[in-house]
Amino acid sequence: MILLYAITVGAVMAAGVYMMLDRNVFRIMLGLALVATGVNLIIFLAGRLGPVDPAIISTGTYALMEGAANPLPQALVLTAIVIGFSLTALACVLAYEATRTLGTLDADAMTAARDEGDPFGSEPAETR
Amino acid sequence: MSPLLFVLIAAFGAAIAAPVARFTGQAAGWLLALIPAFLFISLVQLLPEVADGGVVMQVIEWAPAYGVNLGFRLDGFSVLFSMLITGIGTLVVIYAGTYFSGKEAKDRGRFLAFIILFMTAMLGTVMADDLIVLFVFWEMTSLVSFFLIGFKHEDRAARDSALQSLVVTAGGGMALLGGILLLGSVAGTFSLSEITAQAGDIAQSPLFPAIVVLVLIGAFTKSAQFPFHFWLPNAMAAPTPASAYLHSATMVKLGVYLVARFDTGFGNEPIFYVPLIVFGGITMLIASVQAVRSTGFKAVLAYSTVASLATLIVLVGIPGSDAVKATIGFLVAHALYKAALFFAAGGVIHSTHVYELARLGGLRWKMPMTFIASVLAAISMAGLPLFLGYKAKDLLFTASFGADSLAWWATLCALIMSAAMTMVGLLAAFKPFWLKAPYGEVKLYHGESFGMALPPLVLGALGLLFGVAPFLLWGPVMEPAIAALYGAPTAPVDAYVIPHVDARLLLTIGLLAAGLGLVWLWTRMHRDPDSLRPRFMLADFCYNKVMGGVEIAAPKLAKPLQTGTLRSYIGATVGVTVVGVAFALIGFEGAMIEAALIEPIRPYAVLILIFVLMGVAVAAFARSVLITIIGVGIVGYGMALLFLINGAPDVAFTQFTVETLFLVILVAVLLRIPLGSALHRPLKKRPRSAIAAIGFGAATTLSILAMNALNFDPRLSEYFGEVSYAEAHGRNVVNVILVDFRALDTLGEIAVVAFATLAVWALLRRRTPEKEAGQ
Amino acid sequence: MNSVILHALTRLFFAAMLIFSIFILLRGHNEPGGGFIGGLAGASAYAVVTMAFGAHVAQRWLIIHPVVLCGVGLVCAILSGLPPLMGMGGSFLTHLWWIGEIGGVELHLGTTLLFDIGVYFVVVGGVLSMLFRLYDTGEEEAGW
Repeated sequence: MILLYAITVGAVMAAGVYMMLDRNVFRIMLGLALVATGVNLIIFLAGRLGPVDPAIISTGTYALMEGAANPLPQALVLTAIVIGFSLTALACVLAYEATRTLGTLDADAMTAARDEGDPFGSEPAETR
Repeated sequence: MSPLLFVLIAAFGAAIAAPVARFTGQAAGWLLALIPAFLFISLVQLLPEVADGGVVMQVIEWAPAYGVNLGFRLDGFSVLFSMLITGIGTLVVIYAGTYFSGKEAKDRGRFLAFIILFMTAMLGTVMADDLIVLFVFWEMTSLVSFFLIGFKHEDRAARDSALQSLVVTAGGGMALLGGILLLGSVAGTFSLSEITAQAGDIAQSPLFPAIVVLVLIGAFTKSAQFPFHFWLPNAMAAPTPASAYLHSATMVKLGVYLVARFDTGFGNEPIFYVPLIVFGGITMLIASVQAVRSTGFKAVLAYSTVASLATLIVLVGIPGSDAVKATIGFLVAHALYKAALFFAAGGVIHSTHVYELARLGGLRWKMPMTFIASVLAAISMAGLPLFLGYKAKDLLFTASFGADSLAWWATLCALIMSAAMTMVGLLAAFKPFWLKAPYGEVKLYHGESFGMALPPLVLGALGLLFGVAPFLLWGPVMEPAIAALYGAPTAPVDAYVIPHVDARLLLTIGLLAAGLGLVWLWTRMHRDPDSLRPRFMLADFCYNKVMGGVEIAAPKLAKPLQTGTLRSYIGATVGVTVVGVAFALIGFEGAMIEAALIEPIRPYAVLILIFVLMGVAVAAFARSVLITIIGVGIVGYGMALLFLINGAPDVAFTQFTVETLFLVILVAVLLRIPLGSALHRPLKKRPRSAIAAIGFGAATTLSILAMNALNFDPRLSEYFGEVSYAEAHGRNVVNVILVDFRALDTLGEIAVVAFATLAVWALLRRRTPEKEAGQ
Repeated sequence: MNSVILHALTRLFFAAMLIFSIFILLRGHNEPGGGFIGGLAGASAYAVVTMAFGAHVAQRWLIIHPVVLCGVGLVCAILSGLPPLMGMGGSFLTHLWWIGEIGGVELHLGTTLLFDIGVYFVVVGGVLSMLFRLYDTGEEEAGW
């Protein structure tokens, strides 16, 4: 089973990296989101698969029963999802602002725009 | 009073300096001087405690995991140094208050705050026992001196000098930190006293030469020794009160302090003391020559400081108790007369606005108090009988004659240095006051003021007082320091007042004659206006070449690496990761395959995985961004289902909601920007991207399989499962971990969310029409 | 979006989702749920309003500024960790519990609840400030 999971995560990561190597900034953002999702599943897998009951102590008992899933990676993944969401959203907003200001979706064109204000260049940066 | 309290009081003084200066105006210097004065008196009261080798220790746990403690230690040597720092500090604060009286209250407050902060840092350095603590304060002195030297920040030369001193001393600080860390790893402790106690073992370590080199670089940069001697004379760009304090009296002596501390343990290792004598000697010669070549009033004094520091370094290097006595004697004598001379020079420059010694003359009746102070200090510097300087010189030659090795070198350097010192002393005392001004009478902008004449007068008088009443100084203050530094009791220093009539007196007369000869040479050299031009300085030249080279090389190196193209960064990261994973996993295949096949296959899971893979394919190959978004959404929802069937309902629900909200946000962006497919390039045209992506995917898959093959340690998870209800009263273990066991983590995470929020809020602020128009 | 049906259902959805999110938040310690999930659900409730009526209406329904809500949440979370520092034993964020009985039902109340509420507020505030900014069409100056 883990083999199938591993292959799926590998595919998700491959697609994410492939999209991050694109020129369209929004595809880069989406690639980032894919990679973040993939990483979350990796953390989850690090806690090992197997038991499928939720990690909840049932009424009347005082400790987690056999057959309950590993709670630790769940806690880590849960916060990772929320943080990943806010950071991806921040990245999207950044991309949006860049697009709006520079008038292009092309990451390469954005780099070129930056080079006009190149700190290493001899010409002073000109304002638009 | 505990050592930490001294530092804290001084820091408090620095904190209140600026407001006090604002509200008290001209009296600020006198008022703020109460703080160092109070510290000085407290130190005097501590003297009996350290008299017979007594030690005041204070250890507060700081970072016990790294073996670093807030360790402080006061012995005779520390107390002596602290008394110099606070005593001269008191006078500096008084002097600075008057020096800046004509300036704005803001400037005065800033300067006084820096000066007192500087005193704090120096106190911390000499009181620290833990080497890490010492290093922190050491770097603090470098930083604060940067601000002091660059105080006149409108002046380019001042900024350059400040930067130069920071580059040299902070760079040396890095070396020192390296040395300290190595030393700590060899000794197993950062405590200076414990390291001294096991010095013999440490010296056997193969790392010892490296430690010595690094520590000596730290000390040499700080104390301006060859080849780092060039920054100190440039540092006279600082306002004179700062020059008096940081460059002649105390800060630059921290390097001496450090090697002296190490000398207690390692003083008999040739690898430690030979470089001290050799480099110290070279510095003495260079500085003596430069003192003769210089024209600036402060420059002449600054080079004599470099020479004096070199003398101290050599004295520390010479083994034996005679050298220790000479070190302490010279240290105190030099601090007294050099600070006095700097104060006097500052007073003269302040009144006349003339910076070159060669232009000055004939001020004796116009500035009588400054004149007297200069003469007193200069006689001590020239080492004439009845003054403290005579005793210091006497001890210096006793030590250099008696050195076991390199005695000839030490003595030769000491002779030349003493002649140059005599010249500097005589020049500083008589040239501006007694001799005629060569370029017409010097115009006086204002007369001398009490606040600026008193400090040099006090210091000059002390040089005489300690000369005629040696019992005041040597018994209570110097002997404990000598004992602490030597590490064993020594015979007391001969406390004569009238010098013995023997070879040493003859030597003094000879040196005086040589000094007079040099004065004659100096006045000849600096007679014509041509000589006032800045001179070529080799070390400065080299420094500028190196810095210029760095400025040229840095962009050449940075440009190919920092292309600014996201793709090249990601490509490099992916490539390195894939290669690294491949290397790490070689030879692990067997276990990986075996472990991968244990678990039974669950049909639900397989269906969901196929769903996810479909989403992946859609996302990767879609032409339009909109469809890509749908693909990414499919992957996200698939992940949520995977979490759900694996016993993680919390995570699954979170993933569902996040995925939805992410879509909502993306839709908002899409509404604002038309996302065409113009940029889409099909897979066929991007073979390198595809290869990188497939490589990374394969590396991920293999890493997961390898992780799966490792032994799983369930202890932490089991612990949480057991105590979650018993101790934290929660049945949902995941939530208990989040809000209780790892609450600090969660707090950090929600802080990240909050910061991202703030960033978005600021980025997307609505632009007002005026701003749009202005663009 | 000017669908009549959406408008009509929005109020219903909104109320249901908001109550649901608070329910999720409160039961989180013993059943699936908690501050993160509850917060996301609460944010979704407002997201529906935003999509239906626009950001300024959602903002009015939220009453408090979302960035302020974020800050309030952080303060709640920090406050919940303070009692141990004020002489109640333990280090920062060691939670305290009060166990009692009301009407025969055993009740466990802890500072964890305050912490979870803090998480809830941060998540709601964080998500909504992004959302409001992006859906802010500038039609109505709400003064923020």
